[in-house]
Amino acid sequence: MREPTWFSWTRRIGLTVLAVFALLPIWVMVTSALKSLGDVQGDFRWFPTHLTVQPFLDMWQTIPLARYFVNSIVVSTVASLASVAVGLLAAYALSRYRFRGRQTFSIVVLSTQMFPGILFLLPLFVIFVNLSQATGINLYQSRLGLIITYMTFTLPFAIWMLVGYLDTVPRELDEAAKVDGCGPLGAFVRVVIPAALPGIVAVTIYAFMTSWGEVLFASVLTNDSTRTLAVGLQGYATQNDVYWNQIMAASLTVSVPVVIAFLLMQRYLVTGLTAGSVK
Amino acid sequence: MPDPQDTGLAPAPAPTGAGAIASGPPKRRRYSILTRRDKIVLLLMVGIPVALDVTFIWLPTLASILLSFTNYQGIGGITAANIVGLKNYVFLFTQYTLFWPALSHNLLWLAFFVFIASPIGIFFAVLLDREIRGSRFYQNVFYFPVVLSLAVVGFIWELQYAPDGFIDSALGLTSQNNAIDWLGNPSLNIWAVLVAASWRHVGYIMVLYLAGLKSVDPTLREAAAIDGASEFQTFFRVVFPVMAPINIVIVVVTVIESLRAFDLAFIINQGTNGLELLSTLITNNSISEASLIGFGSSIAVVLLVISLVPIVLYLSRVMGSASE
Repeated sequence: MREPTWFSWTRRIGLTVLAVFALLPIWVMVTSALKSLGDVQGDFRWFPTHLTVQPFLDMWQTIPLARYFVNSIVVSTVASLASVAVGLLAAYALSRYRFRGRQTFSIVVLSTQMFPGILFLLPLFVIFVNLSQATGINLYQSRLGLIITYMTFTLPFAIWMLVGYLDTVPRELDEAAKVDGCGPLGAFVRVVIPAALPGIVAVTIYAFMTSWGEVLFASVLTNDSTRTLAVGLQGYATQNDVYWNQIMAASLTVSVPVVIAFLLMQRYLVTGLTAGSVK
Repeated sequence: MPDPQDTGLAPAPAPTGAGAIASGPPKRRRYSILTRRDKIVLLLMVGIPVALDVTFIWLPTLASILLSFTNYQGIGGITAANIVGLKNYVFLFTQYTLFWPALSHNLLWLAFFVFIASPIGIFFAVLLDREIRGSRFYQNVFYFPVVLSLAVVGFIWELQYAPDGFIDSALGLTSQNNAIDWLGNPSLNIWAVLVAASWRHVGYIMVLYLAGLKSVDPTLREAAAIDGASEFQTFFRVVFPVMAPINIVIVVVTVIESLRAFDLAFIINQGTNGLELLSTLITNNSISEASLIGFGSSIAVVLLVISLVPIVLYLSRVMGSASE
């Protein structure tokens, strides 16, 4: 099918404009991270005159960036692994068995991914605060509270995507494994999980990215020792000065893990995002 | 799910026909009768997520509604003396001067995403859905902002919008020559933030829609072309209707992403001075500046009522596909 000339020209112009719109901010970020603070505060220059890596060294001193980094890694890793582990079991049940209550399950669990977090923030905050005062179980201002929260709200989406992936694994595989003497769980662990592994990794990465960038709950439920990166980066804006070059250097640094993860798993992620909807 | 920021994606129902018991396909898909032990295992497998979601999402959401009728301050028990009836709502609607601006900002955010950002994303998906050189490159470029967290997006745009920053200088404005303080000007900053939010949202929608387009049966298009349909007609009469399921996903994602608006306003100025949103009013009144949990909950209930529209739309889709 030949496309009309106006179409290909619209595309060329449109794509170029949008690519510039998408990339310019990245350029500003990268160049600002390589400038001295005085240069960032001065008039904007497209190409920095003096390049320096100093911001990448100073950023660790201005705020406890390393601690925030550790917090983010611990919280995001544990939350995403837990979410996928729990989600995988539920997804397997949904994908392989018909049972009463399936639809109720969809309504109760899957619909929660549409709840804006702010709807349940205050009661959760109140529960966490009172719980730690009354019983000493520290969910408020602890990593555990954040982990449970993130795990819970990445769960519906994880289940939804995982069902899509598991559906692509032929049932004959499980049956064959059962014939060969595996129990239902054995078939699941030895046959189905390996076959759906790319999808499972993709969901884990998605859950990780979601937790990594979450701001609302992190800003409310943490204190200085449990703060995660998404909130902690604000520390570069002090009363006296805003260390823009260090903010940008730190932003780049904290984005590296998710960007790499994304590039590795991109193909699976994108198909997974829509797997359930277009079938 | 968070926003995910992000996190955030909204979705369709479990893909396999949920109503297979009643109207089920051929018999071979039926499973042998489960033993008691299997049933218990099954119950645990689906029970844990249900328990987590009910405990940490459903009950707190319902608790928001109850709390909105109290003047609870967050510590200790709630007694009858805390119940204030509709007082929070009356105050909110009649006296709280920040409420209506915040509500209108939320609705503006929604309208901007629905009518501008998402259509642009869809448009670019259609443009990219060809065998063209560099298609993969463009997809990566447009998706890149989505990978960055909203906090990082906030910082990048804050720097660009700064007086003397990149945008002013690109427009030829300097501090000596009418620099525009994009984020400091209360009548301008919400628009500036919407552009920043769209920077991310467009790429997100584009990738989702593109994946949907790839799944459209190519013979449909060929048939349309043979019948002499123009590019325009092919899209609006053939492709778009076939994409109905993904169109709903797009609508739902768009609505949810805009109702979730918080991060950018919070990063830039805690949601004050022209950037008020319902979400920032809640955190400012109930957590960071005061502890008016009851009052904040009444604002959350307003947001809940707005959110019910996409939630009901989603649920009716779950029901709909189940009864097919």
